[in-house]
Amino acid sequence: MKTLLKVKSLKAKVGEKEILKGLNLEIKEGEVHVIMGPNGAGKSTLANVIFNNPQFQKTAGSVFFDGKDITNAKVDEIAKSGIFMSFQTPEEISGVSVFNFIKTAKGKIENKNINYFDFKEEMQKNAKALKMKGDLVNRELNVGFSGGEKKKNEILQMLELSPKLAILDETDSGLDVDAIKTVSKGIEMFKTEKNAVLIITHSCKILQALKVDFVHILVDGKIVYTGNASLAKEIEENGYEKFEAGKKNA
Amino acid sequence: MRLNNSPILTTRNYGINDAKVDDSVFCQEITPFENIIIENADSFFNKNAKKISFSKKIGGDFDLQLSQNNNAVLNFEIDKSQENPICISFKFDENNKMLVEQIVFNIKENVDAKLIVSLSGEVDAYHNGIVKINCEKNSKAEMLFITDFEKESVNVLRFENSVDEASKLKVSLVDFANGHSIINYYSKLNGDESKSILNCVYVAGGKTFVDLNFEQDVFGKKSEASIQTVGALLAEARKHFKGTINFEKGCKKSSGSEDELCLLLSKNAKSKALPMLLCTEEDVDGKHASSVGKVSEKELFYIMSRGFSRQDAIKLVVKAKFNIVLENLFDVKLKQKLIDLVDRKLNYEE
Amino acid sequence: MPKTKVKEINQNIYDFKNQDNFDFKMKKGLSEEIVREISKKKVEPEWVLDIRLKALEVYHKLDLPIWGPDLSELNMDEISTYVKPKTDKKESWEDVPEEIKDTFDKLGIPKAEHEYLAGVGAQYDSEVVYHSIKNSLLKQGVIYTDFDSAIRDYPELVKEYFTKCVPLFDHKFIALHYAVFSGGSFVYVPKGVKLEMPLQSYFRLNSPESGQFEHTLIIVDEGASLHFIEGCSAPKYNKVNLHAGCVELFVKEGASLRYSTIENWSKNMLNLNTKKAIVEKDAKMEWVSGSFGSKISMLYPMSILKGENSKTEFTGISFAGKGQNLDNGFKVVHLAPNTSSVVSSRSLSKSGGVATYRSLVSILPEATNSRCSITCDGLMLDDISRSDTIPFSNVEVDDVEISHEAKVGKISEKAIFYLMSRGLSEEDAKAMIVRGFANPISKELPLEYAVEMNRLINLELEGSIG
Repeated sequence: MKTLLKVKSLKAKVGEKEILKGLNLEIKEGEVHVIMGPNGAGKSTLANVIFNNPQFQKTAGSVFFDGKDITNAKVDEIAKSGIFMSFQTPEEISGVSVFNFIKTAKGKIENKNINYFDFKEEMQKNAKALKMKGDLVNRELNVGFSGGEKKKNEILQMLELSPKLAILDETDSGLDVDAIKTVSKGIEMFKTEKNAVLIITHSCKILQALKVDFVHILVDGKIVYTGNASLAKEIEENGYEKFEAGKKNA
Repeated sequence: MRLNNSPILTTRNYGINDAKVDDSVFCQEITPFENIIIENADSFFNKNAKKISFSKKIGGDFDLQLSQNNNAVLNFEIDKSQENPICISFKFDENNKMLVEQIVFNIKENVDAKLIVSLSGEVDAYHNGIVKINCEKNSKAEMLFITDFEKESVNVLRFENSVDEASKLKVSLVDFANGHSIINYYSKLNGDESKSILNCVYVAGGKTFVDLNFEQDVFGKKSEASIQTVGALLAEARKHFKGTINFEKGCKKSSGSEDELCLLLSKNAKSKALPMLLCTEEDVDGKHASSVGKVSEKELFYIMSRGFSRQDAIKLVVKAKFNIVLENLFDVKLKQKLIDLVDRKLNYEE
Repeated sequence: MPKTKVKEINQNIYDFKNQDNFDFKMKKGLSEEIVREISKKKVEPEWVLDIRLKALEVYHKLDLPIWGPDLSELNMDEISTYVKPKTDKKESWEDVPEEIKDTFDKLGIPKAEHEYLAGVGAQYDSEVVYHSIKNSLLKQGVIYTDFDSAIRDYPELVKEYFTKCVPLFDHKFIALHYAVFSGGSFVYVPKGVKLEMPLQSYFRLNSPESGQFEHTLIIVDEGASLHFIEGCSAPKYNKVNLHAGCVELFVKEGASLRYSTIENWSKNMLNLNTKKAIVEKDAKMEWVSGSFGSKISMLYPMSILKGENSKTEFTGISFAGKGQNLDNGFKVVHLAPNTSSVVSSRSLSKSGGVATYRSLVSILPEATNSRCSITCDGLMLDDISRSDTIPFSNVEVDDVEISHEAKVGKISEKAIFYLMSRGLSEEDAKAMIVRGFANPISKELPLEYAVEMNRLINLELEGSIG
C-alpha cells in the first residue's frame, strides 16, 4: 500500500505559543484514521498547519504527500497535490456562487476546463444525495448558510474535488445528529481503495457508522497513543485522563 | 455663532458641518467658582499647576475664554495605582454658577487610574471646560464624566486625550443635557497596541440642543478605537452627531468601530448624524453601524403584555440600551445610580 | 505573503481617438455671447434661451462647493461648451458618417441594439447623431427621441417637466448645465405601457478640451415601466474635459423605472453630473450605477419619495484607480408616509485612488412609518489608496426605522486561505473575491452589460514577491 501522508516531528506555533510539539503521522491509501484528544491539544491546528495556514508557523519537521515534500508549499499547491480539508467555520464569500466556486476549484485542481453540463449534472446528483436544498448551489458561498448547510457544502466540495486524502475537522459540530449523518454519508460516497480519510474529532459518535483503521490520541501537541477502532470506545468510557497522566509519567 | 466644526466638511445646507447657536449662549463675565470637592487625590494633586494649552477648538469666543479667563485649573500627576477612584465634584448653586475649567490627568507608566468627574446643580449653569487625559505607556485609565443640570444651562466641553503604547483609555460620558450641550471629544492613539474607548449616553428633553463631535485618530499599530453612543430625545430636543474614526497610514492591524443609536421618544425630536470612517491604511478593520427611530412597537407590546404601562415599557427598553453602553463601568453601584437617574429623566408625557 | 498587484482597468478598448473633426466648435470659455450662440445654432424657442440666460446668471452667483474633491483645475476659459459633429441626427446607422459609426461599432452599440434593446440613442460630442426606436413601441405611443427634437416636437410636454425635477439653482454645475446644455434623450412612456426590453443612450465625448452637457428627461406615466441604460466613455487627453449632464426622471403613480449607468469616462474627465427622480405614489425607482472612469467624479443620484408607498433602491459600485478621486453616493428624501429606501454601495480603491461614499438620507415629518436601510463597503486593495465613508442622515419624525452599516478594510486573509485550500492561487482567490464583491451590481445589469462590467474590472492579478 502506498504512503500518502507522512508527517515527521512537526512543530508549530501560533504567535509565541507552541501548539504542535513534534507530531508524527503516516497515512496510507485505503485507510481511515481518526485523531482524538482533549480540548486544546492541537487537533484543529494540525489540519491548518499541514495546509500552511498563514496564521500558524511551522517551526520544525516535515510534511510529505504522495512522495513530495509539501512542508513549505503554497496553500493552493497543497490542494492541487491532492489534499482536502473541511473547515469548521467556512468563510462566507459574497457574490460568488457555490456552483461557480466549485467548478473553478475543480478546474484548477484537475488543470483542465470543466464541461459545464457534465459538471452540473454530477454536482446536482451529489447535492441530492447529501439532501441539499435545490437552490443551495446557486446561492452565495456560505453566505447565510445554517451550520448544517455549511457542513453539507464542505462535504459536497470534497466529493467534487475528489482528493487523495480528505481531512475532516469535526471538532466543532461533531455532536450534531444531522451533521454526523452528512459526514458519514459523504465519506461513504467518497471512500475507495485508492484514497484516505483523516477525521479529527472529540466525539465518538461519528465513528460508529464508519470502518476505522487507526485511532490516534493527541495530547499536548503530540500523538501519545495509537490503537484500533476499539480505542475510541475506551475513550468514550474513560476519557483522556489515562493518556494525559501517562504522558506526564513518561 | 458657529461651533464645533466637523473635521470633514460636507454639503453646507445639511446643517451638520457646525453647530449654529445664538450669540447669547456665550457668557462674557465670569464669576468665581469655589464649590469643588476633590476626593482620593491628595498625593496626586499638583497645586502649582499652570494653565494648559490645547489644540482642539470649539469656536466662537469660548476658546479664548478658556485659556485666559478660567476660574479653575486642576492638574493630577497620577504615579501610582489605587483602589478608590479620584472624584472631582463641581457643585453648581446660586453662588457658583459659572465654571470655566481646565483639568489635566497625567497617568504615568504602568499605572491604573479610576476617575470620576461630575458637574451638577439646580441652577442655570454655564460651563466651558477642557479635560486632557494623557495615558503614558502601559497605563490604564477609566473615567466617568457626568453632567446633570436641572435647569436650562450651557455646557461646552472638550476632551483632548493621548493614548500611548499598550495603554488603555476608557471614557464613559453621561450627559443629561439641558439647554445647550456642545461636546468635542478627541483621542489620539499614538502608540502601538493602544486602546481608546468612548461610551456616551445622553438624555435630552425640552428644546435642548446636543452637538456631539467625536473623533479618534489611529496612528499606532494593532490599536483599537471605539465610539459607542446611545441617546434618547424627548419633547423638541435636537441632536447632531458627528463621529470620525481616522485610520492613519501605518496603523496596520488596527480596528475601529462606531455605533450610534438614537431613540426618538417624541415626534418633534430631531436627529442629524454624520458618522464617518476615513481610511488611508489597507490592513485595518473599520466598522460603523447606526440606527435611528422610536422604540420598537413589537418590543413594547411584548413588555406591556407582561403588565407594564406603556411609559414604563419605554423606560425599560431605553434603560436596557443604556445599560449595554455602561455595562463595564468600574463602579456597579454608581451605574445603578445612573440608570435610576435615567429613569427619572424619562418621566414625561407622551 | 507575496504582494499582489491588481492591474488598472483596461481602458484601451475605449481609448481610440478619432480626429477632432467637427462641423463647428465653439470658442473656449463661458459668456452670454456664447450661450446666445449655442441657442441660435440650435434654432430653439425663446423660452429655452431665457432659461439659459437665467442659469448663466445663477452660475456666476454660486460658489464652488466647500466640500469634496478639489476642483481648482477646472477653468471654464479652457473648455469649449459646444462641439457640433459633422452630421445631423440619423435614423439608420448606414447614414451615420463612417468615422462616427466606426466609433459606436467599436463600442458595440449597433450590435446591442440588434440583439436586446428596444431603442438606441447615440450622442457624439454635443449632438445626438443617431436615434431609433422599435416600431411596435411607437405604435403604443412611446416617445424616445433626442432632447432638441423633443423641444421642437413636444413643446408642451417638455415645458411641463423641464427644470421641474432639478431646478437650475441646485448647485453651481447644474446652473452651468442649463446655460449650455445640448443633446440628451427624451422618453415618454404612456400610462400602463410596460417595456420589456431596455432603451439605451450612449454618450461619447471625442473632442479634447470640451464639455458634454446632455439633458435627459424621462417620464414614466401611471402604471408604466421602463428600464433605461446610460453608457458613457471618452478617449483620454492630457487636458481636462468636463461632463455636467443632467437627468430628470418622473416616475408617476404605480410606475416603475430602472436607470442603469456604466460610466467609463477617460481619466482626464471631471464628471459633475446631476441625476434626480421624483417618485409618486406606489411607484418604484431603481438606480444601478457603475462608476469606473473619470479623474474626479461627484455623482449623487437622488430620489425624492413624494408619494405614499413609494420606493427606491440604489445599487452602486465605484472603482478608484491611479489618479482618480471618485466621490460618489446617493441621496434620498422621504416626503410621504410608508416610503422606503434601500441603499447598497461598494467601492474599491487601489494604486493611490480615492473612493468616497457620500450620502444623504432625510426623513421629513410627513414621512411616517418609513424605512431606510443602507450598507456600504469599502475595499482597499493596497496601502497607498484611500477609502472614506461620509453618510449624513436627518430624521425629523419618530415613527421611522433607519439603519446604516459601513465597513472598510482589505480582503480577508481567512477568505483567501479558504479559497486557496480549494486549489485557487492567491491571485485567483483575490480576483474571485473582488468579482464577488462587485456581483451585486453586475447581477442587476442585463447579462451583456454584466460581461462588459466584468471586463472593466479586468482583474488580471499578477503575483510578485514584495
